[in-house]
Amino acid sequence: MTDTHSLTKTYQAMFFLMVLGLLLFFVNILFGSVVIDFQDIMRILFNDEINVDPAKVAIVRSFRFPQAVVAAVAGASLAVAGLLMQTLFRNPLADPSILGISAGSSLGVAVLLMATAAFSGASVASLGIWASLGVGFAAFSGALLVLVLILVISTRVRNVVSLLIVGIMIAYIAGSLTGLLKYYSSKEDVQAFVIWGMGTFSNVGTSQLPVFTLLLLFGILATIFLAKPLNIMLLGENYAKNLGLHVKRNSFLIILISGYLTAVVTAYAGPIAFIGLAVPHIARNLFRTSDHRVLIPGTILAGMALALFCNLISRLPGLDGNLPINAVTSLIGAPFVIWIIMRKRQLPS
Amino acid sequence: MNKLLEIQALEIGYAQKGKRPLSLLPPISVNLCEGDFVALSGPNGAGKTTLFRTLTAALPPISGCISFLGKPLQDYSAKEKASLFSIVLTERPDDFFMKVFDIVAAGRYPFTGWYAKLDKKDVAMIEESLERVAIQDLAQRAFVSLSDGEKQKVMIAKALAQNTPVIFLDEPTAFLDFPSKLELMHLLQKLAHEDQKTILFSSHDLELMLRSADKMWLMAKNQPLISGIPEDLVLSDAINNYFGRNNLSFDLNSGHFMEQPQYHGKIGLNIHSVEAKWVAHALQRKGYQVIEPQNTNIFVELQGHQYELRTNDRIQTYQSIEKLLYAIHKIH
Repeated sequence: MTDTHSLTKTYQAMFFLMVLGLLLFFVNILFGSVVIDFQDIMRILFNDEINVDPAKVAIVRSFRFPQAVVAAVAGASLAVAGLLMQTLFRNPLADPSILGISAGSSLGVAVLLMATAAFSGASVASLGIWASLGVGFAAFSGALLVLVLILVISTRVRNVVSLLIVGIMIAYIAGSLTGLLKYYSSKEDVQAFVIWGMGTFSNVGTSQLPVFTLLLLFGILATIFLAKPLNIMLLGENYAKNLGLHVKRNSFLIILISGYLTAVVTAYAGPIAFIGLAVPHIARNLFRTSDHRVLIPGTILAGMALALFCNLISRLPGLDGNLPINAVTSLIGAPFVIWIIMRKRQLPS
Repeated sequence: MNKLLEIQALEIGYAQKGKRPLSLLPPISVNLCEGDFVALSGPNGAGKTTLFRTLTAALPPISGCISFLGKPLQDYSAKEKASLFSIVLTERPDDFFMKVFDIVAAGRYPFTGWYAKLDKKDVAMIEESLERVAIQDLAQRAFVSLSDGEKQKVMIAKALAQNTPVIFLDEPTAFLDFPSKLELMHLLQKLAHEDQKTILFSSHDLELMLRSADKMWLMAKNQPLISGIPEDLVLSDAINNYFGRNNLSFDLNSGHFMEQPQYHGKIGLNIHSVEAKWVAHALQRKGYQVIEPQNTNIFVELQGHQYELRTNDRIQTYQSIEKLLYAIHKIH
């Protein structure tokens, strides 16, 4: 990082991602199933909408703008949460769901669906506005439960590899409980669960947008403080200890922040796959560094851009409504990662 | 000399569930002084790694005391330990994009702020460390692209950047070819003698240690650790006792371990040039005892660059030792 050449390149790449993100954000607002022209969009965005059709104002204000913000913030959160997991476990296949946090969310939602059916006889799908709040709350509770469990275990295991195995096992347990609950649920509820499981950036209304954004921004900013411990942990646990790092304490913080980000995103948007796995690889290959002081902001920006891009694809003009976001993230993300791995890996010089 | 590390009645080993801890050898009492270059050696399973992990605070001792500069190891904070001793392990960082400079810079991390910003002094120290092990040209190379010898030097540069009085190295020559081993030993020797670093390295490469180390700590299972300079340990038969096996013993003349010879023949050798050593080497390897030529009726002489095999009745010449060996084999 000392030579100015690579520093300039880093700033260039950072600038490129920022411009790309802004551009995609704007394009997300511009395109949709209803055609709204550029001038009207500018008027709405800059509060000068007297001559604009109120229906169009409502579409931009209540749907397109919040959806773009949610995509950007959720993308950034999942991407940086994935980076944290990949570095902690020194494993390129780790992602935010590796410790079972998302599986916990799914279990929470499944419990809610089952309980509603058992106690009121009605399916959650029929509860209207309460449904999405309830599902969000259930998802968050499930994720939190697993997170606390993992954090407690993290203070008791010998090393991070054991923790990784425990996390994967917890994910399996939560997954199988979810499967059991689904088996005894009504058809409508299973359908609702499947749709929730596909994820969406359009579930956060204007009223909840500030809370969602603030909760995640808080977590994203906290990752900056992890840059130094993450850099040291790249050397391996034993070297890290010798360099005065409290490995357990820092593993705890890394899991806490990564799990928190994942839990919040999943509560509002469902289990969004792949962004957390793919984006850290994209950032590493773009910046050609292992330094988290670069990778953290780089991953945040790349995560925003990729999520916005996926969101755009999911509602390409001509499509009625939204494609499930999970289908799009994997469809776009997987070939991208394959391409990164398959092309001749050039060593940084 | 300035005592840096004092080990008193240290018992090492592992905790066992429900039983008293398993101690690997009798209590150890030994010291390290400034500028000491010490090899920790012993056969596999002697407890080298356990002692190494205990000294680097990765494993608690069963009993006894380790003190650095007169203060017990457990009384130092994690950060203080980082400026007391540095380690070089057999495990290596494997991140694809990690550069040599980044790894050496990690040696400065205990002394930087929360964002690990390197000041001018830090950068100067990193560069100095790279130069000390002569890898300044590799600074911007990817660590994973280096050879094993180069990687080992990078890890040593990291230890130097950490600027600790003591450096512990676990099997530093394990994956190196022979010239790289010698080069590494020479480097460590230089750091001990010129920079007054106290260096303890573990190894089971006996010949290398005899050749380079100033002092050896010999370990074997259930035997007391003994400390001494290599030559004394050789002559007192300690090397033989700690490393030897039934049919394998340390030959004081050659400085090698040799199998208890079972000769199936005696060959005289009447050569006085450098070839004598290698002809004898080959003959011994094949199980012939080499004796003075006047005591036998089969012997080898050198004519120009050819080997002559003389028996009672005839003289045969051979181009190479290989052909000579084949001829001797046919006679017996």
